[in-house]
Amino acid sequence: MRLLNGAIAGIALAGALAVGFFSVRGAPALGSFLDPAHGVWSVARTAELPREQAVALGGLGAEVEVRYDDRGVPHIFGRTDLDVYRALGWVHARDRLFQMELTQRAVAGTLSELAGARVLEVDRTARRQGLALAADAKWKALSADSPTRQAVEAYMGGVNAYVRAMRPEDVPVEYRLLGRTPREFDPRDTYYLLARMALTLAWQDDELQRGAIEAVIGPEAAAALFPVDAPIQEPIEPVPGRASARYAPGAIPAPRVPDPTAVADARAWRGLLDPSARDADGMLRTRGEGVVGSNNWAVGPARSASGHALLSGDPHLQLSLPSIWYEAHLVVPGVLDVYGVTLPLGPITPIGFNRDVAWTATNTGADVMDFYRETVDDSLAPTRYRVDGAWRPLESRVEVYRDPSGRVIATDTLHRTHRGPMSRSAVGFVSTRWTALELSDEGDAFRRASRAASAAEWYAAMEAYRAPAQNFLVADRGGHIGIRSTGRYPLRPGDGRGDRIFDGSSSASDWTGDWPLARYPQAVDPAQGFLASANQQPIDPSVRPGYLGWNWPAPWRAMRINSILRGERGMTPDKMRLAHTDPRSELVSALLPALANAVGVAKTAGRLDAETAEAHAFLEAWDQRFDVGSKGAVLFDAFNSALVRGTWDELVLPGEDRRVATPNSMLLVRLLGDSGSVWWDRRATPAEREDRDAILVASLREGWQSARARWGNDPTAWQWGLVRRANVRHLLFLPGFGREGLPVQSGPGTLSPSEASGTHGASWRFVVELGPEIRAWGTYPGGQSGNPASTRYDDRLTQWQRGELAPLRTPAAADGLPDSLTSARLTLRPESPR
Amino acid sequence: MTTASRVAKFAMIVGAMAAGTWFVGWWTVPVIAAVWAIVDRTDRTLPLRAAGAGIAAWGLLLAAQLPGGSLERLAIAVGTAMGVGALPLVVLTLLYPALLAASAAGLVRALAAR
Repeated sequence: MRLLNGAIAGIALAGALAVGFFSVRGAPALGSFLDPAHGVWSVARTAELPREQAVALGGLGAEVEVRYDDRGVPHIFGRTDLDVYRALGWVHARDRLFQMELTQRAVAGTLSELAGARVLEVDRTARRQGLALAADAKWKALSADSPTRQAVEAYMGGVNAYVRAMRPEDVPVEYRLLGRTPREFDPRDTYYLLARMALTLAWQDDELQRGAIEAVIGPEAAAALFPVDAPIQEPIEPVPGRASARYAPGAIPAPRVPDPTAVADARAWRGLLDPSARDADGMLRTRGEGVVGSNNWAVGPARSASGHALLSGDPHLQLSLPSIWYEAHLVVPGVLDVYGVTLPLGPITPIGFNRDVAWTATNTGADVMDFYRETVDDSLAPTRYRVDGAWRPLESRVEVYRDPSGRVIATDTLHRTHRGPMSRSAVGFVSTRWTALELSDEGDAFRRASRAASAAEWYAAMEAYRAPAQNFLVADRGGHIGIRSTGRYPLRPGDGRGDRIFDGSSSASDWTGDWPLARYPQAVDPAQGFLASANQQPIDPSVRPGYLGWNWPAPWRAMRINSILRGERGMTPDKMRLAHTDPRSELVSALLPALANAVGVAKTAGRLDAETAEAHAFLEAWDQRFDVGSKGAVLFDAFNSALVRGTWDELVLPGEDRRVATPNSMLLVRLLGDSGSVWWDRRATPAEREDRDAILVASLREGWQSARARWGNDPTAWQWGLVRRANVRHLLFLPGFGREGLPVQSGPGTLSPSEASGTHGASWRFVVELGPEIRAWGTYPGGQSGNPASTRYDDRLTQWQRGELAPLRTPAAADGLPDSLTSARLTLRPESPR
Repeated sequence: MTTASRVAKFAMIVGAMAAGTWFVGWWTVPVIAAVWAIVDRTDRTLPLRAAGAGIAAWGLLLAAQLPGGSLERLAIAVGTAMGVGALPLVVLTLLYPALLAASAAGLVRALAAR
């Protein structure tokens, strides 16, 4: 018996020790993981900032004081900018270390070394994109005495000092779940961060999508449905004397019926696209339609109640926890005093303000990426490519992918032409030229701009900014407001357009130069007294022709902002705040009159059934607001979805139930002007010839039925907040680390656009009043800490959901922040000489 | 042995396990239990008491994390991410040292009796 007990105890002990020391099936080794002193639980010990802390930080020239305010925002006071950047690196590392690692690895294509072979394809894509090589080149191009290089080195010195001094309880929980440990960073990693920005905002492979669309409906129809110029013009650069959007007339040619070859072509083209480019319904996504929608606007003194310029920023991005942004205030008396949102991994403030100037951005979405079909000497192992009849050598390199143990899990041979990375595809070898891959120094532009004393100085500092192109809006204390779509815009041969794949065998296909600065979309102190942008086509081509891009997002948001601003002579910061979550949509205003007309026609003709009449009465009673509790919004959304489905059925490949792409809602509105267009006719009902009104009425009926099936037969119980919800997911999509299903006031075409996945939204909202003393308010969806045990991990989410903003503290000196608003004090001291 | 001295000994072992975990590492729990079993060969309930000491020691250490941040928030996040839930994760954290301590004490007792 004793022997048996001993054997059982021995086996149990061996098993417990085995799972304690070794990782089993990807789960962390239990001993060190559960250890309450050093394991995952110890993370709770460091979740909140210590009230008082002093730390020795090597490389500092003098003491740096950090005061965390009541919102957990560090106000960093130093004697030199390099000291302040070093302190920012330390502060970033303490709060967001894992996020920094993930950002760097995503660009470098080394996520497999952290998370294993399951993310190998993500790494392969990253290395094919070539952003890490471009970032390395940009870093190498900086001279040793470059102020930017020094700033970045100081910043990364702070990061690495933190990493080297980490105690077990400082190791972020994500590392523990992955069974990994933090490592030090390289200064060039800041340029990986900038590359990541470019990837998020300026990667546009629409031309590949265009190939699939043309194969299905023919080139003429494709050109009309995905046009170079937006059919509705509400440009960023104001048109003097114009007080409303311009609706450009235009016909949409009939689609062709695809033959088997065309269907195969469409599928081949579609295979080239990143699967993440699909929307919730599995259809390829049309750029800028309902998914990401940044806004910014500013009013001059004549339109503000206080007589001071006001600026509002509302950049929309993928929502995540921790948030993409980290708020910080950097002060070096007489040199630098910048407050705003920084990006962990770099000492830059892309959006923010100083004592004189405020700035913010929306994405320009210009076409800055072209594809070239290359002719190579060997389709299996190419070494040369042909240009102008002569062979040129390909630049080739072998990429090695490793797992966390260092084992090689894959290798790729990648090639480059003089244009950029070349990859093999179903349609042959295609090389890519992209402004983000070419030499530029955005870090230096941001660094200098943060010191500007006026809007004019700010724009001068940003002249060297190249990618990703942004609609930078600026306001200053002198009452000036300005906007410029800043970036590098290539000049192309021929008609100048870039919405096609070029012939790589001719050098005549190559870019011939760049747009001069004077040609950029821009405006300063316009007569209308306000400026706004919302990703729409920046210049009305009827005023100033020129190819800047194609397939522009609909200007519904721009129209709504401008409508609010045009009607306002006494703008206040609070009215600016309310506009962030304004519940009205110009898309609704464009669609509902046509629906009412169609219902009227059907009624007169005796074709309106009782169910559709009931649905229309319900919709007519709707106040056209996308409030969380709205019921009519539920029906409108269902109607709109049915209308899109019913109208664009020609874009569905035979045997499939998904469109190859969805035209912009502007095209749907344009089509409303042609009641007999063949596009209204449903291919699934060959015996019938439907027209516009028939489809509108049928869509209402289908929407009503689908809404009742999905949300219940009693429409008075519907709630828009149950339909559209924000899903703020963790960077690793870890369940439990994200916050999902948050009702938010947003809808199609509103300033806060939404789509079914709920994964995108306002990443930072702020308002600045540029009076004698600057005043500002802001919030973002998340919190300053990356530690899920911290109250500062998600403490701003409720405020963000409600569309509220918090006052931003802007002390000019360390003792300028009252004790009542100080949550923690950190003193960073130079290390004493040994 | 009086109840008071039994309690004192138990508390001492709990303290040793907690200190061992804090200053050295988690694996000191079975080592301390084994040493205890060598020293106290007569106690037939020792594996059970070793398990209790393990639970108490790690329970104390868990409680020590409370002032820093929210253990509950962390348990929910990590428990959900691991697919086990918050409470089971806490229970697992307490049962693991119990298993280590009980099995080490039981093994030593069995070996010592031969």
